[in-house]
Amino acid sequence: MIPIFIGTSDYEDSWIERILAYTLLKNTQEKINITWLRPKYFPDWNKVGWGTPFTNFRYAVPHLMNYKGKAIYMDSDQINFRNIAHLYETDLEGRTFGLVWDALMWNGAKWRDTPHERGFFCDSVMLIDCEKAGKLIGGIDKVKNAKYGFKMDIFDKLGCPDKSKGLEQILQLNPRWNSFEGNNTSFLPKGITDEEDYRYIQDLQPRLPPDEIWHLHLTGLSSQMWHPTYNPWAKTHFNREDLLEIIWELNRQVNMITKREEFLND
Amino acid sequence: MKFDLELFEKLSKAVLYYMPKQLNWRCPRASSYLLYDLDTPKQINTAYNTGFPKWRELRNEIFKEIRRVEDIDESKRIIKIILFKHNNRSFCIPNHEDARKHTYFIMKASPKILISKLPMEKSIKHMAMPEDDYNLIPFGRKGSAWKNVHLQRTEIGSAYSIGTEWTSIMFPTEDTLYFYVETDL
Repeated sequence: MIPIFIGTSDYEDSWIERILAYTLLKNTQEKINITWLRPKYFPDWNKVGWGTPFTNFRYAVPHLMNYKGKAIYMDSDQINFRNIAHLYETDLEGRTFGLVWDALMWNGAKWRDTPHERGFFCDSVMLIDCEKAGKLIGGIDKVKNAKYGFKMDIFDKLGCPDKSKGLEQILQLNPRWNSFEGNNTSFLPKGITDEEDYRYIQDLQPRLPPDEIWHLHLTGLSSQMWHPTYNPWAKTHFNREDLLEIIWELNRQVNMITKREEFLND
Repeated sequence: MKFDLELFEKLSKAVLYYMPKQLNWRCPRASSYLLYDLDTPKQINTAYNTGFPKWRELRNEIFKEIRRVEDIDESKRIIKIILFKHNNRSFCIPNHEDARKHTYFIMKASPKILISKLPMEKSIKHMAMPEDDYNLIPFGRKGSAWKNVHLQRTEIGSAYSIGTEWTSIMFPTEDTLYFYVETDL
């Protein structure tokens, strides 16, 4: 049984949740156990300043696993295209996490003109050794009462954004396991400056063809085609026509299951 | 102006069945479905054009029908298309579009539309008038205080265009369904 924890909202992301769950099940023969991490299940948590409705829930996973075994965490704005057991069975080689490297992440003025000014491990898909992660993160009360930026507290302990230090406790996963917008997330284009907008430089990364994407992450709140109601930004077009076609077909298949009687009578 | 209701229904039925409902500032608490939009944020150079397959299939026919109804040729842009579905909690806020017209393609129910031939800042005070009491409010009567305010009754299958000099507000009923379209003048 593969334990998978998915950070999501109470109901605003239900469209993509169904597609994610469907694709996870569709692409594996292994039994999986999905736990949805929704705000309503964590009523007394400090959620002030979070960028999403589920930002810090991911760090409760070791606790929810009783600090034993391995688990996978992922955000809900994702679609699976490859047997998730392959990720679960990845040998962490004694490390705490398996994470994809986000080569474009700007680490702020503190790191300007250093080798670490750009690039960070992303915690939106995580393979977790729950015993080791529990020791690193601390007890559940610490997570529950944490202030915004808790991620940085944890990754500071791992020496990030210094990648070589981070790799002592983090196994770098193939970027296909967390492909932002269908790109090679770990590719750093040459000649970009620190001031350039993330969305713009994202266009400079190589686009993976659909069959090269193992796990797609729709990171752009504006271009998420289900437009969750908590998004404060304008709605924009998701600029991958090849993936749009696949995603809407998956939506059709999900509807065939969830509204089966209507399809049979059609 | 009558429009091809059957064509628009093909689209609206599929949209309501498959697309997730969204929010739009024009109608708080209503379900909205953005299909097409040229008003993109500055740094985004791609028009919004939903990948929803039924939209892609019918888009050209829908565009053609909008051009026929609006009597605009290819040199004029269709700027925005949104489907709105109302409920017992939703409402509309006044709408005024500079240098373009906005049109309601009525699909379900017969909501009334208050229109005012005044700019937004002067119209807004009229927009909460009781739309259902013609005896109280003599909409459009010459020489009266209401001469600039008109009440438009609507029918399913008809489109109602509001010009750039006008401000409008719709009073939706629970089951009101319509396409909202903006075009060049």
